[in-house]
Amino acid sequence: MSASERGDAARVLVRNASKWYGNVVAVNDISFDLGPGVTGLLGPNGAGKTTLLRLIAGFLEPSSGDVEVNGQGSWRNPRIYREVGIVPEREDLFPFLTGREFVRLNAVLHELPFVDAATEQAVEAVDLTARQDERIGTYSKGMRQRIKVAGALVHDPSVLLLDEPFNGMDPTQRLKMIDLLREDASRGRVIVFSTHILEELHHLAEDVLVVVSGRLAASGNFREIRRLMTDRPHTFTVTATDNRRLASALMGETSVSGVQLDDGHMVVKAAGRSAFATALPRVAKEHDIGLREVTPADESLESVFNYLVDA
Amino acid sequence: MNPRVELALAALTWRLLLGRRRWLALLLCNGLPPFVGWLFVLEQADVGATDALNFTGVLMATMVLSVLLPLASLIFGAMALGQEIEDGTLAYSLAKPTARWRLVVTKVFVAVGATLVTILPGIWMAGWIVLDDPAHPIVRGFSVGVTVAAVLYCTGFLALSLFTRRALILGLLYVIGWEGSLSRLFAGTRTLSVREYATSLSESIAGGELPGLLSSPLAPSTAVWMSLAAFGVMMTLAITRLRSLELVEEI
Repeated sequence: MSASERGDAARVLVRNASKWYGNVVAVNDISFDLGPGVTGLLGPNGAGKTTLLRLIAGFLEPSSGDVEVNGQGSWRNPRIYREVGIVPEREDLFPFLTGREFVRLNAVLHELPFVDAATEQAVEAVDLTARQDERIGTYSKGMRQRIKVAGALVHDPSVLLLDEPFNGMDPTQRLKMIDLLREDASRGRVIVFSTHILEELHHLAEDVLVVVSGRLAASGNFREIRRLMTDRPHTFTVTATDNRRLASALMGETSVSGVQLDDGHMVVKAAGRSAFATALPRVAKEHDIGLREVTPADESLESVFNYLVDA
Repeated sequence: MNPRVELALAALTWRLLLGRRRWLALLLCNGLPPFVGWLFVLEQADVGATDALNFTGVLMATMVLSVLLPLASLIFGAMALGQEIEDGTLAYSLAKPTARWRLVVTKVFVAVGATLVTILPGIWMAGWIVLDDPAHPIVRGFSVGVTVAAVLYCTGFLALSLFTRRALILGLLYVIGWEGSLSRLFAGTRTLSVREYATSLSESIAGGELPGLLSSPLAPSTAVWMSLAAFGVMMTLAITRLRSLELVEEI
């Protein structure tokens, strides 16, 4: 009997899970316990997010540790798929099927009693009713993403796993998908999705798991993680009309931890982005110095994640 | 057990196998034996019954059993699951509560069906052109032999595709190296050759009408038992492997 049939809350439990291929460690001793709601898996490309989702989906055997979905081990256990819906990242679908045929195929393979009604409902949920009879081969990237979501939702799973689900969607489609997933989460579904874009989490995920180099770098509330990312030390390259005078003026600011004069510009180490963003124009104005260029020097996602790992 | 699952999987696999212009191979395989038979009849204005029989036997044993059948089985057997593994769409079939043996059996069934559709009509047409009888014992014999061999080849190549991404190349090496050469050179290896099983069974059903040089030294009963054993082993391997198949590419 499944968790939802028993009336238990859906759960995804990952306990000290690792996955390695020879000498390459893809996932390193990760643990978390997820209940109903939306959780975002955030990390740069190659961080191990997809491997982690595959472990939860039962597509990979953990090298060590346990992965459970609704109290059942996910590896070599096809029964869990009654409770799990999966949206893979790869775009490859069956191009010769229409959208409706694809969703219907999923419904049949799940042995649903009312295949046509479930298909209709799922296609409608992703707003593809008008295009359901067109071949998937003619679909745009965003439409393919949506039809994959419909296929994953057709059996009303209690756990939904999505790998980079917003890839290729335009802003309107994104908002609709976000609404759909939020509504699903409010009905008690566990939704886990991966992304390497922080802003994708903004409207959707309350909880965030940050994965870097196969390790869980941070976990918790989205706003808290975002604050950590925003308030971390930043480095800026600044070019002004008088670099030397601006450098000495900035040294007196609490939001600045160091200034280094370079050839034609200066490199400023700021304690936090928002405080520095306020202080810099103020100081420049007070000393009547013109600002020519202000560029963040360490805004790559990797540097942000590395900071979180070190924090 | 809901047979709709098997039907849906079979329909999907059929479209996967015969899509992407693979039906051209189907036409080619079906057209070759009757075409060669037609050339023979055209060449020999007055074809004797023995000549026609000998020619049909040689045509079936060399062109069909040794070349067309293993190649068609290789393509359909290796691609029945291999194509979905390759393009990542197997995740959609595996993320279902369907027992893995049902998936394997359905895929093998469809691969065998596609192979037979590719081979059998050509055999019957060739029999009709050369022997003036599409239901001649020799044609019936080879039809059975081809069916048994298609089941074994398809199961084997499907199992192979679950172990390696290079199933087509390795399968081709097997067909050329083992079935085409080694199993003919050494008597001991014949008990491990699908082509020998097919020839032995064809011969027994044809009532010993195969030309002497084509006949198999393998007793039909041995061929039956060896075929059953090989089928059992390969099917077990395929099911066991699919149960613990890791989808290493993106899900």
